[in-house]
Amino acid sequence: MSDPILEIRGLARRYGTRQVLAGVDLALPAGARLTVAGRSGVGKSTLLRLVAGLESPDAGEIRLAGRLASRAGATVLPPWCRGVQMVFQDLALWPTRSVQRHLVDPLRAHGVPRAAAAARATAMLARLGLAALVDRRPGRLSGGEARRLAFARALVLEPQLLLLDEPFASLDPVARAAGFELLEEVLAATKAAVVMVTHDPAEARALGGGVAVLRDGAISAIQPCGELCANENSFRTALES
Amino acid sequence: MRLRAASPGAPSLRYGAAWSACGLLAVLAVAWLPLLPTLPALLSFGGLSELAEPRLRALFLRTAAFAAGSALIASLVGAPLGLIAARVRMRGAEVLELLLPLPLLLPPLLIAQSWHGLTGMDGMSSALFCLGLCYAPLPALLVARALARQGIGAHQAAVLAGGRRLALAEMARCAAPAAVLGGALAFLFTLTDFAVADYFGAVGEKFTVYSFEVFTHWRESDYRGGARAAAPLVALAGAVLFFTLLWGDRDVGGGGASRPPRLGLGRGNWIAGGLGIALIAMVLVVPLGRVLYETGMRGPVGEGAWLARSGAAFRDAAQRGGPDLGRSIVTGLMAGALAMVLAPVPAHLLARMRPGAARSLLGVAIALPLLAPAVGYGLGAILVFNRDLFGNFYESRLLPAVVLAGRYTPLAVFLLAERLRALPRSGEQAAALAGISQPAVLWRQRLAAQRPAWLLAGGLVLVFAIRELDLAVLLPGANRSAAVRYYNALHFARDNFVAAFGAMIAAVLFLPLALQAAVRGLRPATETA
Repeated sequence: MSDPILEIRGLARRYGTRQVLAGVDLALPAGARLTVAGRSGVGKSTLLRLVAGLESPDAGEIRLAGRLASRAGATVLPPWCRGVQMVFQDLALWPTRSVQRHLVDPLRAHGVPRAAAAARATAMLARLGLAALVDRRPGRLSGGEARRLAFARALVLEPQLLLLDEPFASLDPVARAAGFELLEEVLAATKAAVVMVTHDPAEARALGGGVAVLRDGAISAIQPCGELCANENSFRTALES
Repeated sequence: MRLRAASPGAPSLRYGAAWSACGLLAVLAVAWLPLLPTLPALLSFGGLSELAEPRLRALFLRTAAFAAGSALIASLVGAPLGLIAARVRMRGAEVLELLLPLPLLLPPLLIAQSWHGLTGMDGMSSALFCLGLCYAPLPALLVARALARQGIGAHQAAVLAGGRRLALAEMARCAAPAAVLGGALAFLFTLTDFAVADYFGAVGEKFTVYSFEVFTHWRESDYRGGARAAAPLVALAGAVLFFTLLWGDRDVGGGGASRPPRLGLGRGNWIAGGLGIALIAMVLVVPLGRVLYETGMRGPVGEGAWLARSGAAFRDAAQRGGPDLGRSIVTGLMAGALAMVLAPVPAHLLARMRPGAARSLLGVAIALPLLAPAVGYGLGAILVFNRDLFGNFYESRLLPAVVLAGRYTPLAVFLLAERLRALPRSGEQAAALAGISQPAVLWRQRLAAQRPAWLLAGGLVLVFAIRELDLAVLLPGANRSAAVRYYNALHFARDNFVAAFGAMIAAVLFLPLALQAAVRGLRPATETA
């Protein structure tokens, strides 16, 4: 049996005197989809940053496809060598780069030849409906287009694990519906395992797969999304209980 | 019908615009008065006609090239130093960051003295090199500030998507406008410099720069001609600043409240660390070290070992130069206090304006006193204030304080505007809805939130007023100042008194920042990525 794409054991993280994560355990098979749900401030985004290697844990370890990626106090595999990409809550686009260069520059940094990088970028932009906007900068994109660009940047590197940090938070209902359509397109475009953090049952439903509730610094058992997300009240109860 | 405040004691909104206008007028009255003799030549392009003369045109172009060279050196030294100090994860980076502003506080003449003493360098290329080092802290500080405000997400996305290479490239893009602005400021200060060029011309191969032309008019008592001769320098400096501000208004992201993490460069950390140490040594440690070393060298006082001679030199400096330094501190304190009163209104207006040509134009207008050569600004002050109308004011010690405040208030305005811009507008809007007047909002709310920056702005003016030489030479009330005594001592003898007095001045100049650092404490290191 192959190693899980993501394996977390006893993960802990503290900020000053505040213990945010205290013994998180998780295993995620390749290609699986998981929503990590929890109330604001429980450490959902911290968990993603630890998995991405943007922070080091205080205790525990993270393995990616069987390779040790992080252990207590150390990031063993640097973030860019993990096969992990992330869509940030604020999208984190680069204001001075064009749409095309948002995709080409990471590919070039990974050693992809110029022509191949341009071809891959063009294909991905076409797939996410951004082909006509290649020369624009983020400041001249609509909210929806910017969100598509953030997803395109994450996908073009063909990650094994895609992390989504509340990608549809604070959107109005129309934009959220468009966001869910985008998520469907993205899921169709990748074979990567996806971990999304949210406190919204609708977003969890859109992703499908399992739901892990993060509470008191630890993750409860993973439940199928269908049961938990069907009813908003039961979802809320799961977060609070 | 205008709204009135709900509480009986609160002033009405109607005073807001009038109050702002009064604030601006006060700034113009203090800062622009010495420019009045230059302004007609500047606005009518009459001063530019002087450039029709081939000798002056050649001198002007040579000075512009000289300033461009100095700006290039300042950028090449300052920008990497700012990046390393602010954002590279390495041992001692916080100390490097703490040291970053100090070289800017050193009198340029002290840096020139130390590098000349160390290497024997002289002539135009040496002046260019030293002025580049003097103003390297400008791009360094601006780059460090820009990178401290880079969006955390944008940085982490670059790390994740492209590793160190892409993260460094993204940092460079984020810092580019700040580096260009710092280089432009170095250009402006070099363009109008007199003292360093004069020093290197005096100790070695003779050369001239355009500000000598202004100074020559003063020596010939042709004050009006001097003020008029300054016009081409002001015009060029204003144009450069306008286009730099306009270009720098581009959105490069950032503005976040939290500081992004430092970037580990792996093996590159050693290179970055070595480069950072080498650069801070060039701009700070070597000049200060050399000056301290010279305190124990030959001189009129002290015998025996180096330490004994050094001690004697410091005692001599305190005895002979102490009163002058005391007067400079008092003048600087008055200038700093005046700048703290003058700066908030224009800073508030500048902070509220949208990016674009209008804001850049206002920026240039506010910066105008800084864009004129100090010699030309001083001549203007003489022409304006040396009249019966002003009585004893011209000879008094109040005049240098007012003139120095006028010249350096733009620094306070820009620093404060940048900090005020970071405050959310919502607080101001809520206060307006509650009927609180604009003055109350500015003084009690916005300035209160940025009190450390306000104090720092005053401290900056204090420091620049103490180290100002060219104006102090011209204004009678400032002749007995530390800068003039240091300048005279350096020109007539190079002994351990000069070194000890220079070190004393440097220590006084470092004091405001040292106090601020002590209050704030060292920032804890940020980890990861």
